[in-house]
Order: sequence, then C-alpha cells, then structure tokens
Amino acid sequence: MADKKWQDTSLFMNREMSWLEFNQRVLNEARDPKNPLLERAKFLSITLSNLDEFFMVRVAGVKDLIHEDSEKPDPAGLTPKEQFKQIAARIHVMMEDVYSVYHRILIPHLKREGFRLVTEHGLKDQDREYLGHLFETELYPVLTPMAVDPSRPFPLILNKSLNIALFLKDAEGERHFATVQSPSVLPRLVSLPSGSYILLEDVLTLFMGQLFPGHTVEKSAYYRITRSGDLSFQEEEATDLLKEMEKSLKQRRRGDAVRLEISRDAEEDLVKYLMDALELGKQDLYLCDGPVDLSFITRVSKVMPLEFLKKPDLIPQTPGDLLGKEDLYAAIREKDILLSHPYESFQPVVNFVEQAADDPKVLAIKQTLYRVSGNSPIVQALSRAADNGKQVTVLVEVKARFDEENNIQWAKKLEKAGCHVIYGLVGLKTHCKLTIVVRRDEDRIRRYVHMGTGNYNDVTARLYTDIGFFTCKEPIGADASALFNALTGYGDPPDMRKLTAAPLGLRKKFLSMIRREADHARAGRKAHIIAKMNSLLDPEVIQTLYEASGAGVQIELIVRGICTLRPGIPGVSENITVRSIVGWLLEHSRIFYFYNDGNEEYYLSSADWMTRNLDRRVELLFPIEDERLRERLWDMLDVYLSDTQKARLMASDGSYAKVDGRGRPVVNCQEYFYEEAVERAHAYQQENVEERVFIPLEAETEENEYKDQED
Amino acid sequence: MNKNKVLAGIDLGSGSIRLKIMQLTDKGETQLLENVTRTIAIGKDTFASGRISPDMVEEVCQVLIGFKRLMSEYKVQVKRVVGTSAMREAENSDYVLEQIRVRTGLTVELISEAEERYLTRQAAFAAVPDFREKAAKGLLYTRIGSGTTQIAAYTDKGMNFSQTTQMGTLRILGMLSSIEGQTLRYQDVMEEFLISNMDYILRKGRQQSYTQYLVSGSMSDKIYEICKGKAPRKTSGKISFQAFNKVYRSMLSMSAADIAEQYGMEMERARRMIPTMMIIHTVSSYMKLEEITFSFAGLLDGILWELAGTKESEQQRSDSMADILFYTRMVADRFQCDQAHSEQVEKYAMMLFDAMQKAHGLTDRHRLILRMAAYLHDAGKFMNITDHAEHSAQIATSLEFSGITTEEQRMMATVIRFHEDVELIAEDPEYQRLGRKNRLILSKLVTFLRLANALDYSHRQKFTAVKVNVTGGRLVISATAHQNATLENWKVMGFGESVSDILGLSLELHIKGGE
Repeated sequence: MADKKWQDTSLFMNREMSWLEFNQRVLNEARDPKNPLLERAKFLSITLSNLDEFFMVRVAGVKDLIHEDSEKPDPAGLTPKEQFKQIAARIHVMMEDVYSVYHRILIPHLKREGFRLVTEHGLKDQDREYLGHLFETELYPVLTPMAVDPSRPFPLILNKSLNIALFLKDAEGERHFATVQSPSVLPRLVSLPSGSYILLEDVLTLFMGQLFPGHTVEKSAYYRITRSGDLSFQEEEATDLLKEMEKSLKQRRRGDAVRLEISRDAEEDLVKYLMDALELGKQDLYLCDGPVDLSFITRVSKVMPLEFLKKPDLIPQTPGDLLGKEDLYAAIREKDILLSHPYESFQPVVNFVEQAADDPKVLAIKQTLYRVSGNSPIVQALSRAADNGKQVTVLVEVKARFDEENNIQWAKKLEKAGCHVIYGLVGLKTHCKLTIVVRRDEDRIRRYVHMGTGNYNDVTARLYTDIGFFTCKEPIGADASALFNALTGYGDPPDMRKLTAAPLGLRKKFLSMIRREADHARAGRKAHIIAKMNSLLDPEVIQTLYEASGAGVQIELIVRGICTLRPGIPGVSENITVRSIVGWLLEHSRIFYFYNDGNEEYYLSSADWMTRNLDRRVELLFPIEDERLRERLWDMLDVYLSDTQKARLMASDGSYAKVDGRGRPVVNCQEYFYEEAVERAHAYQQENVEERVFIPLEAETEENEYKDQED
Repeated sequence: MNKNKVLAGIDLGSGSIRLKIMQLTDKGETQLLENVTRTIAIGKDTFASGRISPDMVEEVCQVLIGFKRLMSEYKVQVKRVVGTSAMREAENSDYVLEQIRVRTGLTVELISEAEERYLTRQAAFAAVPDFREKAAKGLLYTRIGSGTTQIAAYTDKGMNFSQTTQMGTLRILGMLSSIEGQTLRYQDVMEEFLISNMDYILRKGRQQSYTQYLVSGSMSDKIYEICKGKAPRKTSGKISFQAFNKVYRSMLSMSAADIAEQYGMEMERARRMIPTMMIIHTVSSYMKLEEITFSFAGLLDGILWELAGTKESEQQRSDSMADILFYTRMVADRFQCDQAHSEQVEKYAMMLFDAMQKAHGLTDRHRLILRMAAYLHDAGKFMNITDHAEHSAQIATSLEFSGITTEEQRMMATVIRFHEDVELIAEDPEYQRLGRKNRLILSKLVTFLRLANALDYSHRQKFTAVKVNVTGGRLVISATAHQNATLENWKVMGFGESVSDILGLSLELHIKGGE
C-alpha cells in the first residue's frame, strides 16, 4: 500500500496546527455577537482550558521529541523543532486574540451590566478596610511564601496555579527571589463593599510587605506554570516515539514546565530569573496583556444575577420514538429506536438499565462503562440488579485521562454487590458503548441491545451531541453477545455479521467501503460518501479518501476538531469538502453514509478515523437498517451540511471560513435539532392529551351478578 | 420434547472448547442464543506426552467457569458436557475429569469415537432439509477432520457403507510437505494418494450411481464463504463443482500465510484449507459430482439436537436405527450369508425377545443388537466353516457401525461368538470380565439367538406358523412343520438346561406335522 505518490508531505496538515485551528473556532464563538454574553465568556474559558491540556500533553510531547534529538518528520513533513516553532508562533497570536476578546468585548459588556473589576487604584476606603480585615483573617493564615537562596532550591510550583514572583531586598541590600501562591481554596473574585470586584492576587499585592518582615519588595509579577502531564502522547504516536526512546535510552522527563505565563509589565530580570529556573526558552514565554489566567471570567455569572445573559438551559425532550410509550421494552420490540442527544433525553438509556434491574423477566445485564461517575444512576441500577439476582457483567475502563477519579472504588462496590467486573483489557482501551439486556419474554428469550456514539454518562449527555440506538433484532443481539463474550474472555473473537469491531476488522471495513465507493465511481456510477466524526487523522484512511476523490467519489466530511486531510487540492482532493461545526453543544456523534450504487448504507460508531481508534481501542460500528431511521439520519446529515451559522468550511491551506449564506436559508443545526425535538413532543401533546377537566370515578356496576342469576 | 427450554452443550475437543446455548420456543422452533469457541490446544498435551498437564487443566477449568457463568445468565435447564479424543486418550483422563468436576461442578462425559461419529452425522443430516430426498438419489458423505476422514454412502434404502480412513488433514499436511519439494504437480500426486487410500470405497461407489455429495467438518463454513462470497446464513449450503474448482485451483498456488491474510482466518485454520479442499476435490472429480452440499453442523449441534428431543430428532433416531440394520444386512450379503436363514433367525429371535419382554427387562438397544447378531452370526463361514462363530465375531468387531456404542458392538460380537456352543460360556475369561449386569444381559441374548438359530438349524425354513408363549413357568414354542424336523427338535431341546438356568423357564417345543 506504500504508494510513493502519497508520501508527498504537502498532502497532509500537521496535527497540532489543525487542533489549534479548532481551538480558534472555539475562541471565535466568544466573538460571535449572536451568542449571549455569558456563553461568550464560557467559550473564552474553554479555549484556555483546552490550551492548558494541549500544553500538558501535546506540546510536552513535541518538546520531548526535541529533547531526544528526534529529527523524524510528521506526515506533513515537519520535524519536531519545526512543529514547535509553528505551534509557539500560532499560540502567541491566539493569546493576543484571547486578551483582545477579554478587553474589547467581555469587560465592556460586563461593565454595562454592572460588573466592575478594579485594581488597587479603584479601591474606596471602605474597600481597603474590608480587604485589610480579609487579609488578616482569611488570606494570611493560608499563605505559604517561599524564599529561594543558595541553600534552598527553587520550589516546586504547582501546575496551573497562580503565583506571585518577587525580588526582595533584605537589610544588607541583598536580593532574594521569593514566590507566593495565590490560594486556590479562596474564590478568585473578591466582592467589595463598594459593589466592585477585585482579583485575589491584587489583594495579595496590597499587603505583600507583611509577608516578608525585614525585606522590601523590589519587584513583583503574577505568573503561572504549565507542566507536562500524562503518557497519552506517547501512546498516540506509538511505535515511532517508542523506537526513538529506546534508542536514546533516556528517561522521559515528566513534570517539566512547558509554559510560563506572566504579566506583560513584569520586569525583565524577574522574567529571566524564572525562565532560567524553569529551563524555559523564549518560545515558551507568554506575556499576558491583562490578568494571568482569565478562567475567572465564567465565575462572574455566579456572583452576579445575570441569568438573562445566559443561554436558557436546554431541556431534553421525550424522544420522538418513545412519545406515548409506557413500556420501553415493548416499544423496542415494536420497532428499533433512535435517540438524538441531548435534544432528546438521555433518561430512556438510564431507564433501560433501571427497569432491567427490577424486572423479574430479566436474566442478565452486560455493559461497557467508560468515564462514568460512581454515583451515576446507571451504576446504582447495576448494583441493584445484582442484588436482585440478575447476572451482571460490567467492563469498566478505569484509566480515562485526566479525570482519573477513583473509578476503581465504585467498580469494587459493584463487585461486592455480585457483579462480574472486568477492569479493562490489556493493551486496549474499551471505548465502545454497548449494553445488552437478556430477557425472557413470554414467547422466547430476547436480547435487547443499546449502542451509541457517546458515553453512559448522564452529565456529559447534556453537553455533547450523540446518537443512541435500541434494538432487539436477533442478528444484532447475537453479534453483540458474541463480542461481549470475547471481551470478557469467554471465547475467541467472533465472526460477526452485522457489527464490526476494532481492532478486529474495523479498519479493513472502513477502507473497503471507501474503496467500494471508488469502484462505483470508476465504473461511471454515482458515488457519494458523507462522514461525520470528531477527528480525522489516520494516514491510511486519508490516502484512501484521496484515491476515492481521484476516482470521482463525492466526499463530504463533517469533522469537528483535528483534520489532517487537505480538501480541494486539484488532482488529489477536489471532490472532498470538510466542514467543522462548533456551537453551543460539543458535537460528538459519528455517522457514516455510503451511497453504494443505490444500496445505501448508514452506520453509527464510537470511533473516529484516528489511528488510535482503529488499532488500539475496542470500538463498535453498527448499521442502521430500519428505513424510517435511515431517513431520519439522512435528514440530520442534510441539516449539518446546510448549516450556515456554525459551520466553518476548511480550505486546502488549513484555514477555516464561514459558509457563504447568501441566498440560502439561515440554518443553525443545533438549534434546528432542538426545535425539532421540542416541536415533535409538543405536537404529540396537542394530539393526545385529554381536554376534559372533570373525569368522574365511578364504582363498577354489578350487572354480571344479575346475569348469572338468570341462568 | 423439551419445549420452551434452554439447552446447552459443551464440547471439549482437541483444539478448542465450544459452548452452544440453544432455546426451544413454545412454537417448537430452535434459536441459537450463544455460540462461543475458545481455542485451547488440549490435544497438544495428549499427543505430545500422553497426559494433560496441570496448567492445561487449570486453563480448561477457567474456560469452563466462564461458560458456566454464561449458562447461568440464560438459566440453562438441560445441558450435556462431552469430551472427545484428546481427553479420552490422555492417560490421566480419570483424574482430569474429577478435577474438572470438583473445580467447576461440571461432569464431563467421555464419548466414544463411534458415538461422536454418530452424533456428528445426525447433526450433518439434520442440517440438510431435504436429506432423505438426496439420499434417494444416491448420496456420498464425507466428514473431514484433522485426524480422520469418514466416508459413508446412502441410498433411499439406507446406509450402504461407512468407513473411517486415516486421511485426516494433519496427515495430509505431513505428506504434502514431503512431496511438495519433489514435484510441481504435487496436487495430482496427492490426489492419486488419496484415491488409493479410499480406493475400495470410491470404486464401489462408482458402481452405484451417486449424484449427491454432502460434506461436513469444521472448515465447511469457511470454504462455503470463500466460494460463495458471503457467509452462510442457514445450516447448509450448496456450491457448484465449477465454483469450487475455481477457488481450489487458485488456492493451490497460495501459502498458508497468504490464505490466512486474504480470506481472514487464523494460521491454524489456513493450514488445513488445502488438504480439506483436496479431499473434497478428489471425491467430487473422481465421482463426477456436479454439486457439493456443505453442512455446517457439528458434534455440538448433534448433542443439542438430541437434547431437544423434537419430533424430527426422534424420527431421525429411528431412521438411523433403520440405517444400521440396513447396513448390517448389506455386510451379511457381502459375506454371502444365507439370507433366507438369517431372516428366519431374526424373526424367531424377535419373537422370543418380545414374548419375554416383561421377564427379561432388556431395552430396545438390546433388541437392536440381537437383530444385528442374527444377521451376522454366520458371516464367518465365508472365512472358514470350522469355528465360524469365532470368525463371525471377529467380523462383527472389525466393522464400523455408527450409531451403536463400542460396548454395544462388543456385546453383539460376543453374542455371536457364543451362539453355537453350549458349555464354554461360564468359563470363558471374556465372559467373566463383563461384570454381573452385562453377563446377565449377554446370557439372555445368547439364549435367544441360540434358540432362534436352532429353529432353522438346517437352513431349510422347515417351520410355519411359529408361536412363542410364556405361561406358568414354561417357555412354549409351537410350530407347524412340513418336513421332518428332528434335527431342529434335537438342537432346540439341547438348550433346555440353559433356558432353565438363565431364563428360569422350562422349555417345551411342540411340532405339528412333519414326519
């Protein structure tokens, strides 16, 4: 498959730069005047926390490669050094943009609504008195100033914490460096008697002298360090990086600082001191044109009653397929059910398990759990099911990235309740979302299956868009059971008819479907692919898409985040379009459509077109065969492709631009889907709700008694 | 019938442990709920060292515990766990089975090769919906395994012959690797070799006309999928010889690794592809068959089929008894037995057996054995008239019957061996070794056969209107003779003492007419 043509590095985007463009799209939402003010503040905050994670994982990874003297270029032809240079330059520009949004948009608007943020100069006397008292009673006791001298090494500054760096002069005129962390246990936004607000670190600065008796404060500056985080990067780049590691025999340096954010007005020598101490270079330095760490901006809504500046909460609706259905299981027997979250409520998925726990007809429940919290209603239902004598098998993924709360604790609780718990698979993360309920119905044993594109997490189900699917059709039940048996170690990987799993054959399946479409095109037939996913990174898939485009297949990709494919390159990808949708909700669903010469195929999946999904995760691809549901998916894809508000089209140089909406109806896909769900529920209510006000309850008549007597 | 029940079968084979869970709906339909295979090379231990190692036992128990959990999920009501050759042939099989019982609670039954053959065949036939119609057109059946290949032939009357050859895929692989290096046309050489090994059968086959070919074995579903281009949906499927031949030819130039890669299977299976296809090709082309039917059912299906106890399976069971008898008659024919005499002996033996049903308490399996013995008792005369009973017994032992157990076959042969002599029975060492229960059974059956044989000792079918009655402690045989029946009289009454000993009845023979 190593076609020389595709070694051309100009055909691929660099992954990190692509991600940064995604983050820019998030930041752009903060600029969009159509978004309510507090939503715009939220987007700013999300942009920053995304960057934090990016530094901790991705930038740290690139720096490691540089440290190991790796010259190996990525598919786009950039060596680690070159990548780093581009990344740093891009983020510097982005941070300027961030502060521009802050100063020019958020602060002025907030001011108009009565929010005033002051520094020392804006303080009234009553404020000063108040702050003095606050400092003594609440701040001072929790402060740990740390001085540095030859006998004391540079202290360990906590990752992502906000600190004040100081040069102090002692009685002899000697200069010392000191640092104080602004305590994270106290709220960052301090409310003042005069009605204004001040940042906690500014309060600290006011009383700084008190912290260092016998010294004067020469210079001070606010700063923040970001450190490298976990091993995910290593895993992402797999064999390449590992080979490099083995060659150099050096230990990976974990925990090193990778970024220094410091106020722009900081004195040069103070900055230099920090950079030397942290072993950082100029490209790692970010001068902030305002408060360091702007994440406090989302806290404004907590301290002021500004509800009207928020977007009203989305109220998940009763799913269209379940309107008027009392019994979930009966509804599934009647027909397959599709749920579009969060527009349609996630509650039925929870009910699916909760009902099963108490249903005497249910024999067994099997579920994969990834990123689920311990007090989730699903986990509790599973526990109850085991108590009620059901056979419960749970495949738990305990190592989920940064939110590594102790999943093991609740998993052990499940075990104690009698569930068979499997703590993950060696070498593979279980990413598929699958639930099987085995039930002895009146006529036979049935397997009710739920599969989805999103996690069994009722909290994230409100913030992400995802699609879930219920069925009790036998071929799917058999495949799902067989797959679960393999995952729990009972048997060999199965031959499945309807479902496809990674790493068992999902890559092959995707590639063969794309190639099949290309064959159709070459034979002069219509060929069309629509695919929606979160990231597109896998080189082999991208190559195959390029080939398909060359053969004449029309390919429309909806990729939310990273996309290293370059659309619109003449002779390579002129038949490929890429758009990204970033809106109020985080797009998370994965939908795949293949025209296949009229025998259309629709699939949903837990996997993106990323190498890690196809090779190093357990993922599921499942077909939607019900005609009614296929029409619904087609309509959904149509709406996504018609979005003129939140969609951004990718150009072949990797930049994104708004969709030209002239002469086209205004469509915001997420709002459209929400309205559609609300309408559907509402229409049902109108048609089916009783209009009567007084409905008398009468005793049953005793007619029958008389009848009997007659005989 | 096990209506509305959930059944399960577990097969501990040489290369894997398999579990199937099946549901019988109240409409009588069967539905496969779980089909789990766990590859685990039990056979490697047995074939290498003759014993199953403790590590292997541990692994097996782990798998069985998992299977047990699966079974409890469906609340399985009826189950059967069997072990075949790898477990059977291990020196320490007793201990291993006990270990399994203690650690998993499951009792493993070791089934004989004969029963394995029988169940597999039952399953293979049950999987083909129009099996009887096909048999009527003349059907050849091969089951291709790693150790052996079974060949059988059926007509509308029943099973014509049945043999197990040592031409299993592993053996063929061994030969292939030595021949491959010597010639480019190795497949022709191999096919010649295969034909020479199956010669007798295939030659005989060509004399009848066989138009149908049924293949079963663990590679069947994969071969079907490759030739047809899609996975099998039903329990059996047809492929034209043309389509098969095309795939076969292209595979001959591929290595096992190529096959594994291209057709998506593990190396273990890929290796067996060419030998399996070779056997199928040899039989098909030699017999000029145009179409091949593949049955995807195996031992486990056979076990579940029986457990289900459906009408169809009952019918099939009686069909297979009919097949056995038909085959036995054919064998007797081959040894040029006096057919008229055998039929008579059978008739008399059945009359005796049925008349004393209450008294002797023997089963219909024993009745079957008695019938078979009746057919074969004189087969040994083909070899040598002296001690022909001994020769007949040897023939009975060395034949391959599918559908009766090894013990049943031994019992039948012993019955045959004793059908002549009066005295030797008690002192015979093999008789002693049988154990009390079987000795009693044997004695009764022998007595029936002796009496029946005696009634037509002259081979002239002298009697008509034979009646058997048991009243007041007497076994009364009455018959009308149209010739002098002194010889028969003397022979029958000669068994009076053993009848009295064994059956506790006094023997009376009333002959009307004759001289």
